[in-house]
Amino acid sequence: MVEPVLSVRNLQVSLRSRDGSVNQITKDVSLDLMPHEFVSIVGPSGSGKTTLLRSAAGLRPPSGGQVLFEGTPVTDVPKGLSIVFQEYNKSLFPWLSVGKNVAVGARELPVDEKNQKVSEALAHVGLKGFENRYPWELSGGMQQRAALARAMVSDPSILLMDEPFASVDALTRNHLEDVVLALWSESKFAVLLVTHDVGEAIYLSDRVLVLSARPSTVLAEVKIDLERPRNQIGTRSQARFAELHAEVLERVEAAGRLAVGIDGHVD
Amino acid sequence: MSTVALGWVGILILAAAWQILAILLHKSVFPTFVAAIAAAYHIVTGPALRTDILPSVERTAVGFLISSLLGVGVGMLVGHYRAVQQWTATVIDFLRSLPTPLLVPVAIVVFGLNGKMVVATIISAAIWPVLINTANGTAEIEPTMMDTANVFGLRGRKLFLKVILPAASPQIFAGLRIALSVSLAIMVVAEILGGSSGIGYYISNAQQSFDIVGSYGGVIVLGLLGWVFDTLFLAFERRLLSWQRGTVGGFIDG
Amino acid sequence: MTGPIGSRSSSSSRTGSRSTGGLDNPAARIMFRRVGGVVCALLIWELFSETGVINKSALPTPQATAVAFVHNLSGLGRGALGTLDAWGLGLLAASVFGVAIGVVVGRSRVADSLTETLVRMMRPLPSLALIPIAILIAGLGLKMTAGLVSFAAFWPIFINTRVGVRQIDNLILETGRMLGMGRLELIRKVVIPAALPMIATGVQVAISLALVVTVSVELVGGTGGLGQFVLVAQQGGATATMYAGIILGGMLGWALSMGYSRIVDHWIPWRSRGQVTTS
Repeated sequence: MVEPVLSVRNLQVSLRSRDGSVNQITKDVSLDLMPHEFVSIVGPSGSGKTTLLRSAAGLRPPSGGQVLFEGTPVTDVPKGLSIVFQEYNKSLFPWLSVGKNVAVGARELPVDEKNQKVSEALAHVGLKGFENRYPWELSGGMQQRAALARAMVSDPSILLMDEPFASVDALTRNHLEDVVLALWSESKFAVLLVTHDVGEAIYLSDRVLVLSARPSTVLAEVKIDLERPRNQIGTRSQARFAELHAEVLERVEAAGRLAVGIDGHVD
Repeated sequence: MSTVALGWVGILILAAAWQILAILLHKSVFPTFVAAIAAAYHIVTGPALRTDILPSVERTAVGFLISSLLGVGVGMLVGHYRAVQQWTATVIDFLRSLPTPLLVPVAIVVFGLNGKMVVATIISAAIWPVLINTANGTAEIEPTMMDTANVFGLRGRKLFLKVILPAASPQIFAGLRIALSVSLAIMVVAEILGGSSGIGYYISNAQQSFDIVGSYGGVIVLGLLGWVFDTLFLAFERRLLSWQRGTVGGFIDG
Repeated sequence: MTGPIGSRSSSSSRTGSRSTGGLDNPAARIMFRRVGGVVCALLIWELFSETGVINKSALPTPQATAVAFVHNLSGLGRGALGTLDAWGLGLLAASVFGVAIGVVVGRSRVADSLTETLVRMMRPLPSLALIPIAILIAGLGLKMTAGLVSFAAFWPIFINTRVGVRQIDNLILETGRMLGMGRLELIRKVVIPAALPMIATGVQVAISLALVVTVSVELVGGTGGLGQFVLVAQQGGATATMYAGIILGGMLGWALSMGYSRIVDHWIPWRSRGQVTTS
């Protein structure tokens, strides 16, 4: 049997706010990510998607439960795990050129191999010839592609993405989705994507998990049985895509309504 | 423990370290913390208060005020009129790069050894941070605001006093605060070099007459003076700039 | 930091575009005005000196000053070198300690609180008041000058480093961790570069402060350098020579800050472009 590459078990995260009160973000979240699987997490805003991702990456210690990466408990960010953040403008190092930013991801390799890897990664995301530019000289979409190249250059077994395309315009977004899809299908890594865009989750994923409002649990799992390879127009215009979209959206909205029913407000 | 309390613990640690080090070293040039504090107390309560401290305070205040008025006035002109900025740029750049203490000998030649010399030296140094900050603040005023002023027919003196001055005031105050500490520092050098009274004179006189504890005491008094000036200035600024609160620089988390 | 005046300001590009924008304002005209301003200043100086508004023994003519400058070239050169020596030594020490301690303090919540009040007390204290005490402890000499210079220049560098390190966005630190950096590597490759724009501003302040302290010590203690040169000229009644020394001091200060801002613009291009702090 194949072991999951990332396994989140009964994860519970609480944050202490400034006034001392404890705020429970996730109550009980479990999920398994199999090798080369593409899973998305959607949920109402404020459902702790980002917090969940940070804990899964080892950036924030959970208050309960466990995260296993290839079978070993996660305490710090494990080797073989990469993240792409939403705020590419803060995540790329402004003091390094694009090429050097990507090279940081492969800095343990010998020079020749490293240079080889960097130019490969840049070519993959369509940034060939931009090695010597600085991040702040590039458009938002290009910056995010550079961040993607940096995350990929170390050949990770998992890529975590936190709303990676939320800060770019719609056309760039479609293009970036296809870049990720192409990268993923050519390599062997698994993807865990957090997004608030249901269409994006369905278009990209094998499975979509719906998170409840805070304190969150996994409300539902929807299997996406759309055939691959997918493409923006063909896949999105299938009847099955519309059905899945409706199903997931209904569950997300139910989660939002549920929160209203409990607290009297959505946060 | 709160941040403020920890801050005072830091000061205590430093004072204790000074005390212990002084006792261990037992050097005549390095008196204990307690002795230095006692000397400072002696200065503030003795005749030196009238003969040295008050004159220094007066010179600093006068020099600072003249620098402020000149700096704000000229700074607004330089910031508002591009031609003025271009004509004066090189000269201003040169003058503000000049290490001002070099001008003390000149001031001595022109004014002699007295308070006027100290005030003149202070102005030659303290005017620059005010002028530069005012000019930058004026040049960076939102064009919309200037257009609005234009639409309402604010021109000439009214434009400067009612629009530019308040709009540039946050930057002006930042410059004034720097000018205040510059005034204090230059006052000391001028008095050490060519004073016949004042706290700087007191410190250097004590050193030359081997009243070592006395010169440490003088430095402590001066530090307190700087702290008082700074605190007063911040209180004044907060009052004057209260309109600004809520529009910029607020904390989102309260 | 940016504005109409400010050859030292970081974003010379922005200042430049401000003044060169538009056809009615070609670069030649700006050049003409800048040079013209200097000529005007010299004329005013001449006028003041010739008409005797200010005592002629206190204000020699520009020509007399120029002659004195040429006559004393070697003395002036030695003075400038002496000043630069103490200045550089002090600034170097201040930079090393200021950045190192600033990084450590900025990264630690406890150390940060411990030093908060101390910093607020030290900031308004004029280090120049310590000249007499420094003479007592270290005697007259390069060591004393450099020591005092480093003490004075330490504070702006330390304060800016501390704030710069404290303001670094968490996300950029998390990115470093994500890329597998250990503690030291994180400081070397992320914390310091991210704080570098702030550190550079601190060093900029320290550069002029250090020069002021250096010449002050030289004036008070007669420890060589330009300060002593000016003092000796004044005491000998050679006013024109004294002015030559002052002019050289101004040129030195100007060259140092100009050179520094060129270096910063070239080596820290992200200072004005890439925002890495949350403030």
